[in-house]
Amino acid sequence: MSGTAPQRMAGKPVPEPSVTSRPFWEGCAAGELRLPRCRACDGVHFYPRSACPACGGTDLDWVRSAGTGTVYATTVVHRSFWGDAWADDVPYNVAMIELDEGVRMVSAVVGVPADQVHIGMRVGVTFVPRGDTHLPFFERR
Amino acid sequence: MLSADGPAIVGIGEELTRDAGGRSGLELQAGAVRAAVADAGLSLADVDAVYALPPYSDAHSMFALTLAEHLGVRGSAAVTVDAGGTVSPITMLLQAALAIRHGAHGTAVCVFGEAARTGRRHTGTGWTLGAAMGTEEFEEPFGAVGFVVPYALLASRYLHEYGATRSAFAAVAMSARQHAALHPLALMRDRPMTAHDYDDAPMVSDPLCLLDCSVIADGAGAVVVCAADQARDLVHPPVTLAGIGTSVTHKNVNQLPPLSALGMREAADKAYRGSGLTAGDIDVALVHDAFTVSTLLTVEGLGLCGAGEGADYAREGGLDLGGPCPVNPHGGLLSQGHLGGILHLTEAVVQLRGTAGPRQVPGARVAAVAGNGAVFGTCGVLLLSGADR
Ligand SMILES: [Zn+2]
Repeated sequence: MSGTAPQRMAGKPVPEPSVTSRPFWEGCAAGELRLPRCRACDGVHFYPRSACPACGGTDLDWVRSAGTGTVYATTVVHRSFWGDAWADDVPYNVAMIELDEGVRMVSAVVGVPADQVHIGMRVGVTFVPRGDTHLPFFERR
Repeated sequence: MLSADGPAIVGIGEELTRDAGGRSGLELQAGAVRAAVADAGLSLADVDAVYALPPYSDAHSMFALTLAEHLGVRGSAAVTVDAGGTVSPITMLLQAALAIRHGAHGTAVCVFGEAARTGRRHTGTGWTLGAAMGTEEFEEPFGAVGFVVPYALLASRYLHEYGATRSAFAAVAMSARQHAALHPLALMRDRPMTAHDYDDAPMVSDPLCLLDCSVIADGAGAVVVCAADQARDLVHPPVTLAGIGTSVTHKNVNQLPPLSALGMREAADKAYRGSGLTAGDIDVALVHDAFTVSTLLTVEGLGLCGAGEGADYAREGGLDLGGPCPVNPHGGLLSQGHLGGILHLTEAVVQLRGTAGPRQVPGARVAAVAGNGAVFGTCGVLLLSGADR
């Protein structure tokens, strides 16, 4: 068995930054939500990758997101999938957040009961430590 | 490219069970290939190409080549295909048909199967994978683990954008369950479902409850494809490929477009344009239904009803046997069992042969097989045409 799946079983997964994504995670540790920006078309995108998905440009830098947005889709998860890492959290929220810069990311709204999260709710980023990194979750605004 | 005198499906093999008794996905696929070849009245010596999707739960390099060796096939091609979900069987069939048409190889088999129910390498909840998914860095750390959670996010958009209620999901689930009662292999054949059962089912990932989710299965399915001039002389009336359309928009749910921009409509339009057929020509539809919301979005994409009208369509019996275009008369992934959509393809052939028994759609001449992979990130529509009976 090649390695990825069993490692998922040991606690909640911790992202393993790539060369491309490392500035994003360094930003989270510094309390900044950073988005990749393409210098050619001036568009931001998410998730980080080696080229702009809008125009193919490879001259990329990072901009700081305001960290605010709106819940685009939401679910209350009642099971811990692929092991028991989430067993103590159920029922927990997972949401897609549409940032005010226009990109969407998968995260969760924390600090309110999972079933009170609704599409259209205004949220702001909050960074939660896990392992050696910080994850961008969201709180109600 | 595709036409009535083009390559045709001439044999099918199906196996579906709760427990394959320790057989591997490779062995299950080999069994389905042997059954399909026998069904066509051929032998393995007649097989010149193997197209296979590897078992998801058991990552495997050069899978089709391994399968060909396992079967003792010596020939021209062994091609591993992983286009995504139900699009994989459709793509296998397209590639095989094109290659036969252009003389690259002779008779081909297209196959998928696995021991998803009993053969998983590690314990866990849900259908686990042996390979990386591309969700490890930006989805799973936030609790978006497995397949139900992304589909629940999609389902929340469906209810929000179209003002639908979960009663639409219930209608899909109950229709599939009623159909499954008519299929001898269906895993949920003896488990009738009422609206009350649906309402009482435990929530898995809101708005999807247990009965919105497909049934994990062991098994395999295979089809044999050969050139038209050979097809005419075989056991069964040939089933021809009338049209195929596919689309690609995204992979991960964080890139999900608005529902109006999902690729199912584009795939269907391509298949209709290529074949000269329309939604009104479809007698029976086999649609990927990993979750109930998938059925609604797919019948809308096919144009059996309008965008956002799937909820009323399902509640008014549009999916049911006896309706204008029965959907998943075999019970589908929801109630027959989830084998990646390969049994949607074999069921389409059974329906077009007219041998589906109590679940036969009377006079079925045109079948649509429609599916998606990766939360509608890639979509495919295959139109099949039966012979005059
Ligand atoms: Zn750009």
